[in-house]
Order: sequence, then C-alpha cells, then structure tokens
Amino acid sequence: MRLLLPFLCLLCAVPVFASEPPDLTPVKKWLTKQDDLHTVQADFTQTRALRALRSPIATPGHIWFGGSDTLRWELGEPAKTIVIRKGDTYFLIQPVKKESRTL
Amino acid sequence: MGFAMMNFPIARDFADFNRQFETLAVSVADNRCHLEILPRDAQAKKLLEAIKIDFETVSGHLLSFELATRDGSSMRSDFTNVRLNPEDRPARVRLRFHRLRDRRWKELGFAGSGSSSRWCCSPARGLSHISFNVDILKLLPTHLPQVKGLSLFLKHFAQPNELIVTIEAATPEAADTAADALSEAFGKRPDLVQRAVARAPWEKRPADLSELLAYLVLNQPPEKIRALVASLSSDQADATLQASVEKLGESISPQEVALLSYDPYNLAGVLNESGFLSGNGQQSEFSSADGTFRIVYVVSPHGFVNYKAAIAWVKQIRQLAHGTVRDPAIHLGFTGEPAFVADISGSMEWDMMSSGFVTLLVIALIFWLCYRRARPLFDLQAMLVLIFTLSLAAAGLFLNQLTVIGVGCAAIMIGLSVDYGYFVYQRSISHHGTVGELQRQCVRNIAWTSGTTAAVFFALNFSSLPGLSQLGNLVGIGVVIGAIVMLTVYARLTMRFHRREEARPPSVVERLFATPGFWQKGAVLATAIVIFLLGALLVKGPPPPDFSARTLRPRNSEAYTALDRIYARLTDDRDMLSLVIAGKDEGEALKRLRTAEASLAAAEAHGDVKSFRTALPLWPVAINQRANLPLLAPLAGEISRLRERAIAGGFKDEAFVLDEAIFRQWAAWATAPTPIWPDNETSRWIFRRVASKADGQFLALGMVTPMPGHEDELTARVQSDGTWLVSWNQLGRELRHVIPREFKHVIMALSGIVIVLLALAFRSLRAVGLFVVTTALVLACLAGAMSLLGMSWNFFNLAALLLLLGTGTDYSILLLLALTRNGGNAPAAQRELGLVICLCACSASSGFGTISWANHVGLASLGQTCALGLIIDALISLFLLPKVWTLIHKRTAG
Repeated sequence: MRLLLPFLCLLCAVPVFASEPPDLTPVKKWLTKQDDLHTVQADFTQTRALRALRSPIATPGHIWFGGSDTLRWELGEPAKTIVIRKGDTYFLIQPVKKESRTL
Repeated sequence: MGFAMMNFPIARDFADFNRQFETLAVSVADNRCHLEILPRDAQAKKLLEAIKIDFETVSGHLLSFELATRDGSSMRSDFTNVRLNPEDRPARVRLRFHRLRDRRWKELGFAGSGSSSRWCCSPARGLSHISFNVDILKLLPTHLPQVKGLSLFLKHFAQPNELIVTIEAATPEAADTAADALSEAFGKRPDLVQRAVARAPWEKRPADLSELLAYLVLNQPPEKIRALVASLSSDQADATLQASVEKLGESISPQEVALLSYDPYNLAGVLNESGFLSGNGQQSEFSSADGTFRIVYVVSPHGFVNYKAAIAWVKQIRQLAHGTVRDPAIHLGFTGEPAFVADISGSMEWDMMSSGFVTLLVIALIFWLCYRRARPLFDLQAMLVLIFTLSLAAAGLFLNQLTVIGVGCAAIMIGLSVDYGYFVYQRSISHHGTVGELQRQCVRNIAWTSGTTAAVFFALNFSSLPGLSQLGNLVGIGVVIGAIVMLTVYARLTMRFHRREEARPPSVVERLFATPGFWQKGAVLATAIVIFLLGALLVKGPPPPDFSARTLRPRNSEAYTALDRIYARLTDDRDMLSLVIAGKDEGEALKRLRTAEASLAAAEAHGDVKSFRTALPLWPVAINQRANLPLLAPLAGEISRLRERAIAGGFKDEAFVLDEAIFRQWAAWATAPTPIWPDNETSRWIFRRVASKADGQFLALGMVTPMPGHEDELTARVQSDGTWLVSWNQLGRELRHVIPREFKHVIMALSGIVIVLLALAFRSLRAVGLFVVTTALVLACLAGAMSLLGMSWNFFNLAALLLLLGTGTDYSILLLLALTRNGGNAPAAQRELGLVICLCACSASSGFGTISWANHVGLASLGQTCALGLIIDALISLFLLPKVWTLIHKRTAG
C-alpha cells in the first residue's frame, strides 16, 4: 500500500463523499470464499487514466498469486516490467534494461 | 501497479477487512458485486479517492481492481482468464532470486523529502550549542580532525535560528490538524516568526521545482545534454513523446509516473542515474510514515544577540504553541539550535548561581559551627563575593564567553579563596600584634599555597585543550585575587573585630581539634579508609574510561528529549558519519567531493560502507554549465512547437507546464555568471542542509552509513585536506586516544612545576619526597573510591585530577610548612593547622560537591571527583602525613 501512496504526490485533494452504511453481506461471502483459494492466475488489461494524458493507456499483463506472500506480476507483452513478491520483499525486474532491484 | 496492496486474499477475514478498509459503497447486479473501499491509513486517504473492486458473487472471481486518485487519475486492471487453484503452479513464481542482479535501491528522490530528513535529523541536529558558551567543541583541541569537521558542520548547517516543534498524536489526523493549526498561529505572528514550515515547500508550489530541475539538468555532462537536445528536435520529438507515454503505462515508480506526467519530453530522464528520481514513501523530514509524528520548522525573524534572547524567544514560541494546541493527548516537543541554547544556557546559569550560593551557605555553616562569630563570618562572605566579582571582571578582559567548565569554576574559586580567609582568621585569633605583623605571618603560607595553585592552573595554558586553558586562567586569576583580598582586606577586618570583641572560650569543634585522642582515632580511621580504598582499587581495578557523547550532554533537557523522539520516529542517524567538505570556491569543493565520492565507492566495494550519499549530484559544475547553457537556452524559442507536438502526442496542455518553465529558466540563465546556484524558496530549503556558501567558504555535506566497527578505517581512508568524516561517536573515539595522552603530558608538566616550587619552599628533599608519596596515595585512593562507586573517567573528571593537583596539594604543603616551623613536632603542627585544613577541605569539597548536581553530566562528574579527592587528600594530609613525618624523623634521629 505504502509504495503506492507517493504516486500522486503532486496532486490535490477533494473531500471524500460520505454515504449510508452499505450492506456488506456480499463482501463477507466473498471473503469467506477466498479461504478456499490457494493460488490464482489471471490475465489482465491495465488501463491508466492519467490527468496529464488526453486518453488512457491500456497495457496487457499477467498475474500469479501463489499464496499470501507470493506474487508475480507482469506488465507488457512481452513483459517489460515484472514484480515478484517473496514474503515481505518485492523485486522489480526490467528485462529491457536487464536490471533487477529490491523495492 | 497496485501490486503492493493486492494481497491474496485481500483480507484474512471480515474483521481484518474492516480494520484495514472503510467501505464506501456496495452494489450487486447480474451476479456481479461492485465494491468501493478506502484504506483507513491516513496517508493513503490523502491520495486515494477509492479502491474499486468488481467480483463475481457466485464464483468469487476477481473481475477488476481500480485505484482512483483524488486528482481524477485512475489505474484499473480488468482480469480475464482467471484460474483458481490451478494445478500448474508456474515455476516462474519460484524465481531463482539469487540470479538477479540486485542494484542498490537508492532511496529518496530529488524532491528531497527523505534525503532532507537525513540531512535534517543529522547528527548535525542534534548538538551545536550556544554562546554562554555551551559549545562543547570549544573545550576540545582544535587540531583534532573530528573537532574541526564538527565545528564546520555546526557552524554552517546547524540552523541557529530554526526551532523544531515536534507533534506526537494518537492519530495522523490529530497530528495533521495540530501541525496546520501551529503553522497558522505562527504565521499570524510575523514579529515572532519569520517562517513556519509544516510541509515541504514544493507541496504548496510544485512549479517551484522547475528551477531545481533546470539546474540539475544544466549540471549534467554536455554529451548527455546534446542527446537530450537532439531528442527534442523536430524529427525526434514525436518518438521521445511516444517513449514517455509507454513509460507512463509501464512504470511502477510513483515518482517517475508523477514526474513524467508533467515532463512529457522526459527532461529529468538525464538525472536517472544520479539517483534523484527514487523515493522511500511517505516518511519525510515533516512526518513519520504513519503520520502520527509531525514536525514544524519555526524560523526566528532575527538572530539572537545572546542566550537570554534565545531563552525568551523559545519561551514565547512555547507559550504560543501550547495556547494553540490545547489537546492534552497531543504532545509537543521543542528542539533545534535555539532550544538547545535555551535549555543548556538556562541550566548553566542555574548551575553557576545555585552552586555558588550553596557553597557560600555551606561555608557560613561550617564557619559558624567552628567559631560561633557572626561578624567575621559576614566579612568573610563579603570577601568571597568580592573575589568572585573581581575574578570574573578580570577574566572578562580576555574571555568573551564562559564555557561549561568555566561555569564550574565559580564554585571552585569560592571554595579555594575561602582557604586563605580561614587561615588568616585562625592566625588572627591568637595574634596580639599589628595588622602588618599578622599579614607578614600569613604571607609566607598563603603565598606558597596560592602561588603553587595559581602556577598549576596558569600552566594549563600549555594544554591544547581550550576548555582547560579557560579553566586554568579563571581559577588562577581567582586564586591570586583571593589571596590578595584575604591578606590585605580580610586580615584588617579580623584584627579590627578581635580588638573590639572580648576573647571567648574555644568552641566545641576547636576543643575537639586540640584533643590528642581525636588525632589518634582520626589516624586509625584514615588508615582503615586508605587500606579499604586501595583494596578496592586492587580488586576492582581502575575506573574505566568513558569518552562517549553521553558525558557531553545535559542530564535533563527537553531539547534532547525531543531530539531523541525525532531519532525514534523519523530517522536515527547517530551511527552515521557526516561527510563535511570545504573549499575556497565551488571548483575546489567539487574536486574534493569527487575524490570523497570515489573513496567512498571504493570503501563500499571493500565492505567498509553500507551506503552513502553526498552532495555531489547537487553541487554546481561550472564547466558543464558553461558548455550546456548555449545548447539549452535557445530551447525557449521552440516552446510553441514542442507544446504542439506534446498535445499531438497525447498529452494535455497542462502536462507541458513544467517543461515550459524549465525551458524558460534556462533562457533566464543564459547570461548569468557561472557557476549558477538555484535560488528560489524550494531550492533553498533543499540546499540548506546540503550545501553552504558563507564567509568565503563553500561547504558540502554527505551522509555515510559505515559498517559497524569499520569507522576508524573509513575515516582514515576518506579524511584528507578539506574533507572530514565526522560524528559525535567518532569524536568520542578520537578523544579516547587523544585526551588521556594529553592529560598525561599536562599532569607530568604540572607535577614538575609543583615539585620545583616545593623544593624552593621546603629546601628539603625529604619533604618533597613525602609530598610526592602523599599525592600518589591520594590519587590511588581516589581511583579506588571511583571504582567502588561505579564512576568512570571522562574528559571532565580527568580535569579534576588537575584541580586536585592544584588545590588538594595545599593541605600537605601547609602541613609540611607547619611541621618545619614547629621543628617536626607533629601534634603542634596538627593543633596549629588541623582545624584550618579541615575547614578548607570542607569548604572546597562543598564547593565542588555543589556542582555534583549540575545538569551537565560531565560537569557533575567533575564536581563529584574533586569533592571525593579533596576529602581523601585532607584525611591523608591531616592524619597520616604527620605520623609518617614523625616516623621518618625518629628513624633518622635514631
């Protein structure tokens, strides 16, 4: 979470809207269902709509969750950015630059 | 993006989910649930508007995950081909990490938040004190590299007018509100506060960063700049913009995305290798990562004339702050230079006044107990005040400031000067002649004792320790003035009193000292004590040395407490070393910076350094600036074309604002003399703890994290002309080597002087020998007593040895002179001087004893050591020395 926060460091704020307490039954069920999941694989399309750009940028990617502390996240086809989580450590791999580093 | 929060599952259970997130909306339609949540983390709330999640209600498949930010941007992942619990777990997940080429993750961005927290919390913070003078470095040898480097560091980077207000609250919201309230309240008092900064200046005015970016690019090697200029040419501009768009779609660096969004031509791309464009999250010099600890920097509108002005200003700020933040759950702290000045000067003033006052009181009590005479007592007290005033006035002729050691001298001077008063009074009791005759009787004893004492103290000028020199001069002057005042004025007053008053029977104490049994029992007791202390020395060994920074700081100081909180909550850099580089101009400093950078890189490869950061990336490179300006300045003329291409390349008009400001800045610098320094408020804020140009000196700073135990090698490797690697801990290590050697030399020199003087006074080798043995025995017993009490040697109580050499020896000198005068008759000598020496010892040890509770740890240890040493000295001189004298003379006679 924290790695994400500075992402918008130049931007200003608007108040959060308040609402009536929602019915959380579907969420409870969804979380209960997740107990049965051990691994997940999926393709995804990431769409970034940035304030500075006139149109969003869409990039394909792939993700593997291998338990609560294992993750592989690839962005680009072929992958240009790869993030791997092992325990509490995140590694960033940039194949084009032939570089990797710990986040 | 967003992988960092894509935990699987998103929460352990519903309770965990509720703990982490606030649910904004839930809606279900067509077997699809749309969930909008917001992290409860305050920092996240500032940036995120919502996290939007879509999932299938039946299968639980995740359909989409979106981070919506408060500026209207979003990052959404739509999932397809989701497979739950697939059997073919990808081998790629179990990647072989050891093959990865791990690059050092350079922390902290050009925005400076984290780096400035290091600069700001630098050891630097911690310690430069004032002009009472509380600057501990003023006491230490100036030729030591650590002292030189730290002095420069404090002089140029300590921010003497900047108070740091710390805010600790239970929640980030409360801390945030308090910081804003304080900032506003301070802002309303321009008479009191020039500037109160609760947030980084670039948060308010991001456009200000354009000057710094323009400057940093200008500093780069010309070949890079030529490539940059080429990338902006008509035929390459579109490709450059396309590359930026691709990067915006792929980058996971928040700083890179944020910057590139407003830098479509990637002008800052040339800085990547310099490590500016990386970051470490929300921790900054303004806030802890969790937001519950905040800092407001408060700058005084003017410098402080003296420590009293600093005390008054800090008091006003404190009152204003407490009046603004009334919530008892929010804790405010005050640190930084003015707070240290206020704390330490205030306590020094109190220490000096209280110890002087208590010493006078104790002396009065002792005198009254022994003599029961009010008038001579008042006269004596008046003399002491006169001596103290005259001494300080005389010292003021050549000393501008009193150091912490000088403060301790107030009590010492009184304690020493009263000795002569006691002696004069004791002799006057049985004197029936004129004042002149009394003065002649006393002058020999007082001249020798005060002479040796003053000589010893003045000889401290030979020491390379300025603190000791000051102490020596102050006490030396005080002793001479004390002797003169007691002989000339007090002798006259006592004789006048005795002529008016009828003789009274001796007091209980006087009768006690005239009893032979008292001396017999005293000798037995003194022998037992000496044997006990020597035994303790043998068993426990000598006291260990302690030259750590602990002894250099006050016992209780709110400023230190607040600083410790900063160490605990923001950055603890006490194990870091500060790289201080000085040069007569930018070029010389740059050359030294490069050399130091190379040495540190080699040390890092060698395993002596964990990490380091220098001011090199920020330092102006005049030669590059001169070569680059002709290439960069003309770009301002192409702003229209570049803006058009950026818009055509997919960027909005507002995305070009930063690049445009940079182009215009280069044009503005086109005719400026080099080297160019950035000068707006944001740049000054970032540079204030990294680079300094004042008094014709250019200084650059760096922070080095050494491998534990490699500090000495590293310092030796990096330190060179104009380059220092310093820290308070390293200073302690250096002192550990230097001070004992220094003291050894000084003590040997002083001992030589004392022995020569005594040889002249006694004209007896045996008496001199006896004096040497007595002094050695006193020192051995003192070491035993210190070991027994768990005390250690430090810079301050080593000075106590010198004081003992100057003061304690008086007792043996007086007694040896009395023995010579009385033809070796020990009981007669004891009767004559026993009471006087006892009074002297009690007064002097009470003088030293009163500084035992001084707020300054080192000064207090000086007081304790001296008080202990004087009591031991008096015991040995009074009870054992005459016995040994008699024994030696009997044997000789036999």
